[in-house]
Amino acid sequence: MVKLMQNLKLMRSISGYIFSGLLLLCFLPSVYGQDTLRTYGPRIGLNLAPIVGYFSDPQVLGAEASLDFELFPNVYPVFELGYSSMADSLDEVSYHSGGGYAKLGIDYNFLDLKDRSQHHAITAGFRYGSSIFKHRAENITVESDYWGDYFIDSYENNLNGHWIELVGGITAEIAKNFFIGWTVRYKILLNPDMDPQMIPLLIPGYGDGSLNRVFGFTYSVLYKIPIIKK
Amino acid sequence: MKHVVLLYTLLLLLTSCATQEVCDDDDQSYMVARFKTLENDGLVGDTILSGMSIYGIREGKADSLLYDLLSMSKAELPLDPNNDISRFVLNNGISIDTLFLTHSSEVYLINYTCGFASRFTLEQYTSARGWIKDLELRDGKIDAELETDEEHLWIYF
Repeated sequence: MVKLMQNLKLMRSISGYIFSGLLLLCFLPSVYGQDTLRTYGPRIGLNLAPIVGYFSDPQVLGAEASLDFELFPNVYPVFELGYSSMADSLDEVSYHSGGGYAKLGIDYNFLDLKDRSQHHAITAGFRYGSSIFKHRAENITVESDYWGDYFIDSYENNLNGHWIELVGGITAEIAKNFFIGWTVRYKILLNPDMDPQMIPLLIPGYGDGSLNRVFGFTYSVLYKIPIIKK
Repeated sequence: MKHVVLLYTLLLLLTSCATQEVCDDDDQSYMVARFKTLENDGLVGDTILSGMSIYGIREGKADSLLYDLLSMSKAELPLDPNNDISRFVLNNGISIDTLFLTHSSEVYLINYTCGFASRFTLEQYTSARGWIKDLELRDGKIDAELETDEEHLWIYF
């Protein structure tokens, strides 16, 4: 019951945050001047969400950066690059997984801003993600009551995971060329049978390899290099 | 400050989503051998053998009966994950024979709670030609993850 109350509180505080974020977006246009020039340039982002993994159990260490550009009005091709790894000693298995990943996709901005100099955005888009990683288990015991247990020092495999992400997000320009943004992602694993002998506990960039569908999120700070004004 | 709160709440949400897996008791793979007879008219029939005892030949270990004086129409035999051959002695008190099975195996992770198990592919099967008349392979894949009512080998007496 106490946990339920905590969850309700959490949901309320999150929805409160989303609501105030949306309000912020509504009021921001009046704060800025009436400059009708729009700034274009590559935008570099650092995803802070992997910090959460540092506190989770098992600990997942990682980093992720993004690069996007408003190529056409409201259309943002996005490239994301990251690394993550984990190690865990479970009841029966000592396990490690780690590697790099890249995601390529497009975001579309649905927010209709009257002032061209504003860059806030409510986006929907998709990514194709791919990860090259290695996972390894150590001190493997195969139990056999009758013949006697069978021991293997280690099992490891180099793997390549593929997945698709449906992405929704909000980006707000909090200072000139500086942004904060978050996204929620629904990820669909394309090759869940990449290792029939050992399902990966972590596919870098995706998450738990035993689940064919997972949710993810990012929370990023971004800087746009203002190259073009028109 | 708000962002710190957001991060913290997301952290709590994520950690509460961790799933708990439960380990089944028996995750070992057994080879299922069904006992058959060949009738005079050439038809194949099931048979029940009484007084059956079966044990595996274990190097450096005392014999230990898998089945002890039972009436049975099939036997579930564990294969040896340490070797690529398993040998079983079948005895009904009157006749006796030895079954030789060669197999390849690979380990696989059941899940992170249960750990690893072996699954086998039956490659060769023969008997000492004492009592067993013939052997017929039905399904060479022996894997606890697959159907449990699978029959892998028919033994003709």
